[in-house]
Amino acid sequence: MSRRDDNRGSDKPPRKAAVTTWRKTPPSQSVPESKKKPPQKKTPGRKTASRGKAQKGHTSSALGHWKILIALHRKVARDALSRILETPLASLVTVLVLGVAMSLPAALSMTLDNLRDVAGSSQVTSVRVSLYLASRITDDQASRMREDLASDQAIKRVIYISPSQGLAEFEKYSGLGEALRLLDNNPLPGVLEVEPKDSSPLAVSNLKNRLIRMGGVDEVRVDSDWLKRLNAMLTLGDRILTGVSILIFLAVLLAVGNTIRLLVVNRKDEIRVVKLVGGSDGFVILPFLYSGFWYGLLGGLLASVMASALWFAVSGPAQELASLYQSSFRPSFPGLEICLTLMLTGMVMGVLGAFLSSWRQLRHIDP
Amino acid sequence: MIVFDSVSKRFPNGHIGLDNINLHLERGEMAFLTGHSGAGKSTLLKLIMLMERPSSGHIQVGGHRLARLRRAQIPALRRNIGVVFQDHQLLFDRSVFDNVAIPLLVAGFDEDDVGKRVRASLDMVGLLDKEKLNPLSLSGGERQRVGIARAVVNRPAVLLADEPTGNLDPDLSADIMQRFHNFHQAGMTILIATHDLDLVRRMGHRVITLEKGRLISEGQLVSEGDAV
Ligand SMILES: Nc1ncnc2c1ncn2[C@@H]1O[C@H](COP(=O)(O)OP(=O)(O)OP(=O)(O)O)[C@@H](O)[C@H]1O
Ligand SMILES: [Mg+2]
Repeated sequence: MSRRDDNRGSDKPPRKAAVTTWRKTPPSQSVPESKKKPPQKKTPGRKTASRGKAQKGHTSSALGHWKILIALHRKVARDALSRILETPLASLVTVLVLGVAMSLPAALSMTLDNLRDVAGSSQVTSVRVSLYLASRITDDQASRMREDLASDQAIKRVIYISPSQGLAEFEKYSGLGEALRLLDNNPLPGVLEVEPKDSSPLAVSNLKNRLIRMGGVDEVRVDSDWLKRLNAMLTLGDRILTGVSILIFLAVLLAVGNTIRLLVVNRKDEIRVVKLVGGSDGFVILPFLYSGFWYGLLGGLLASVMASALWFAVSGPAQELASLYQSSFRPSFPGLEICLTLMLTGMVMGVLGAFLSSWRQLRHIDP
Repeated sequence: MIVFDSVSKRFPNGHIGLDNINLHLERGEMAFLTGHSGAGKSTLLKLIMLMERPSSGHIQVGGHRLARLRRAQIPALRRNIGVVFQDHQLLFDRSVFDNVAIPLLVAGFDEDDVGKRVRASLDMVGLLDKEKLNPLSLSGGERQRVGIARAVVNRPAVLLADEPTGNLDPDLSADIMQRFHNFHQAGMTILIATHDLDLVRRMGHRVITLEKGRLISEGQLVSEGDAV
């Protein structure tokens, strides 16, 4: 041992334990691959001799190393799942908590998406831009203007309401016809009602600016207050969704974390023994990460199921409601996208929660 | 291989477990550690595998100063040290086979290899037919042998055994000791804590005797209760 010891004792030890110093005669086959690796990774010059020897077996065993790693992960994942299934009731509670929690933002985002569809669909929201014409414009001129506008790229439809039509309508809806008839002539202007193709606020205001510069137009009014309100509500909804998502995110981390924490407490003995025979922190934490992974995945799955069920329950009445507004609006199915998102975030948060709750705890279990 | 340089261990309650121990174990050497109950044998072994830290002094194992090892290096050290624990440290939620396999899984052996090595190891301690049983259903001596099988399953460079034959009959004890001797001849460094002075005498290796935490003699036992 003397030669090696002189090397070691004097200066800083190498970063990983070098196995080659451990034996009188390194047995050819009993050094496992995982142990060969560290000295190979950071080999100072003096180890080249022993390294050459190891190299021979290494070309085939680099692949073997990965195979072993994958086999380990599969085994650990399988064990973690079967441990969850072994205590179905306790696990079910955790999964239910996760599922219910995660379905909440899912439902909210589904609602918002559908509202956004409504806001975007022309039948319900069609913005009206009303052009009040100057009184000198005759019916003929007005119809010519209407035709011009109808061929405009940004405009979908134009309707001309002549002063007399306007008066008739006014009489019909306001009941103030008598009062108007006292006047000598019809005070109402002709109106061109323009329906823009794009009802986004920006496009509408652009169009408005263009129309106001047309000759013969006194005033342009955009009837889009309620759309603005809806959009404001949608923005608010987005904010709420973000807030709720963050809260749920924390709740899921806590729920998974607590479950994993109990798991660690229950398996203290095992952790001790594994550490005593040389299990690294990573090796020890792996099963718990997989437990978190499964909980998250199952929770996400359950949340997807609940979100879909909610959709089926609500879509019928929603469609009926929409039809009352002469809308062919159909709530869109949450679909694969939301389900995948739920499962993916479930997995990620499960692993993260498991990591956060067990890392420190595992480090403190010192044999 | 194992060097103690004025090592003392004082427990938090003020008890002195080890007092100024100087010890040098060569690579490939086999030695026995004896002393009365409470002399500090287990404490000394625990210091070597970092289950305890010394209050003063330095320990070197395999050329590494233990105090300088970073946390991440400790597992690699332990993988090179097989330990038979006085209290066995078996897991009762899995079979004998799975207990013995733990060091191999930790070290990343592939599955076929694990099977072969575990069976070879169980065969060595005569428990091949009990591999599927839970350690709970084994006798004290059988549990002890499972512990031995686990300690040597990955052919560690260093073997520390704390009363490995405490619950075994003389024949079986002699057999296990012979196996240890064979490992020693194959280059393993071995330190065995034991009360069985007869056996120690017959084996004829170095004997380190502790008393109340102090190292009182080193050498081979030649005649009754006598150290040279
Ligand atoms: N964690 C501890 N805290 C306080 N005192 C301890 C601790 N561990 C051991 N001791 C004391 O240190 C002394 C040595 O203990 P140790 O276990 O090393 O004895 P031993 O030689 O292995 O005895 P035995 O032959 O009975 O196993 C004992 O008196 C014991 O009470
Ligand atoms: Mg003891």
